[in-house]
Amino acid sequence: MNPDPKLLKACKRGDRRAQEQLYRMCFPALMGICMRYFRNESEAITALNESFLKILNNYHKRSTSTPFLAWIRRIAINTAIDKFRQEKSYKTHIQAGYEYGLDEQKEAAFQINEAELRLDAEAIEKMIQELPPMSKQVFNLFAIDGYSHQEIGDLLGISAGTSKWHVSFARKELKQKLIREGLIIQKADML
Amino acid sequence: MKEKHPIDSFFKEKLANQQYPMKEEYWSAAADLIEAHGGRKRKRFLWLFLLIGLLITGSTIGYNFSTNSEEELLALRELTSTTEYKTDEYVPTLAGVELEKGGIAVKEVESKPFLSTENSPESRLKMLGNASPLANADIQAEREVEEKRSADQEKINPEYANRVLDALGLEKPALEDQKVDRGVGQRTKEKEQVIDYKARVLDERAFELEEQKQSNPSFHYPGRASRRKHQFGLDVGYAVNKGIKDPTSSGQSLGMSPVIGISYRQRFNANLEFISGLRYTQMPSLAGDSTFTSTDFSFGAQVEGINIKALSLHQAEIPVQLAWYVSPRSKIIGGVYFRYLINVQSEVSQFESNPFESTPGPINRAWGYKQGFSDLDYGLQLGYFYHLSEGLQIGLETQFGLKDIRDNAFYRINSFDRNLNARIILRYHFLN
Repeated sequence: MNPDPKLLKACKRGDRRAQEQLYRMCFPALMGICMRYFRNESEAITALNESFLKILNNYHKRSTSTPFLAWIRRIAINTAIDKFRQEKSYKTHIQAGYEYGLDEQKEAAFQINEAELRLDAEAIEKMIQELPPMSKQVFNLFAIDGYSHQEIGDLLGISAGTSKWHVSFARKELKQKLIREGLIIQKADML
Repeated sequence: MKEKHPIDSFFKEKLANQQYPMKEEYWSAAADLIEAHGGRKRKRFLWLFLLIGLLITGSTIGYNFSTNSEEELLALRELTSTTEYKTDEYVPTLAGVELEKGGIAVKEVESKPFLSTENSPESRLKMLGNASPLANADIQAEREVEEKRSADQEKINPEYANRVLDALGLEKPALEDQKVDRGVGQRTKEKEQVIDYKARVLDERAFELEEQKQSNPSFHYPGRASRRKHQFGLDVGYAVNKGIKDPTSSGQSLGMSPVIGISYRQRFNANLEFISGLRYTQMPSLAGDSTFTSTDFSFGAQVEGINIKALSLHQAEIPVQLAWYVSPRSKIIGGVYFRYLINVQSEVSQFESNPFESTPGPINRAWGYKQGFSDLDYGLQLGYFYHLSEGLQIGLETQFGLKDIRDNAFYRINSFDRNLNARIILRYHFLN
């Protein structure tokens, strides 16, 4: 996805039609991110629109070496993280992580039963939404969006070790959910 | 490369294909947000303009209030001071009114320890001057005006007499009674009385200022422009320029050009200040011209050409000056200037010629023929400025360029083309 420069110029001039065209173009990528980071559609749309406004206002600052899609994804993620950090319960989320302890347990080997896998994307998304907020954000950043633990630590104001713990915790929780659904087979010999 | 955890891969893969339907209400909300953001931006500029407008208005009003004329100050004192005192110093006779020694009742401000009624007005003025440059400058100016006026008066001027009487708080006599010839001594006494009275009024003001100065060492005397540390001003003027000398023609002429810009000054101490700014100016009446031709030798030589004559250089100028006060109101300046060539207005004419005749073409004015002129010019400048009032100055500046304006190689000449001009500048300080 790389929008026509003429379209971007028209957007900058304030041409509403061009802006709408760009909005429709960016919507799938932005919405996918926002829905993962927020609890409901309303919050996701608010964050999406704020991200789009940033895209409109800052397009000229974008490095030409950065692909457009990667750039708008990063804007959406940063917007989501900013909003998450603004939440009153943010500190609570951080502290809550320590209550679980940072000892990463060795996970048992398992195999996903692809044959039995009939869950749709909505159900998968729901599983992630049910994670504790901080674990959800860290898992999203690490597993889906490809951030390193150090980057996550910088973004969320936690240590890289805490980030690792949240990822581990999220994996364990998600695995339990998948087991409950009968979607993964625990390898008994490796327990 | 580290292998991805199967849970991570599974969720990433599943969520990558997730599709969300686009609803019209999403775009409506986004459009509203964009509109609101644009509105806020416009409002922010509106506030900025309003703020600038208020600042200018406020500073103008403040400036006007802070620069009450001496007459206004006197009138104010006349209205507010009611203490009467007796003097045995002067026995002036004015307009048929005999003022007896020890019997004059004069409205006067309350006496302060700083005042001394035993001294003559001249010595008291000196004392005031030492105590406060503010009072000194005003009294000096008033004295000059009064002396000039007095010298012009051969007979009693009723207006002048009334002013003296007003100042002394005496009843005005009938007009016919004022036609009294007086000796030089009397006029001098009357003049001294006016100065004396005004000196006392200013004396009190100076006393107040001195009290403030003693209680607060960082206190600056208000009122005079020269006392303010930072100021911005508007410069408007006219310059007489020496045109560029051209060895191939008689062209060397004087040209007039406007000067307009803003200035900034910073006062270092009572005598020294720094001045800079940004001005627009021109260098007109350039004598030189350049010709570009092409020759066709097919049958009989024919020359086609274009003649470009620069009419005026339009330049941005940055002066960097230091000013030294030689008196409370006047200063000499010296420094350097830098000029950047913005554009050139030229007269462009076409012509054709062959061995038999020459045919001139149309003549037009055009912009942009900057080739052959230096983009940057710099030089020295000297000047003199006089403070007409707190905010208004008039000055004379002259500039000597240190760099050739024209590129001799381009024009194939070897001339000494330096900027030389004299200009008169009015400077109004509008922002302190």
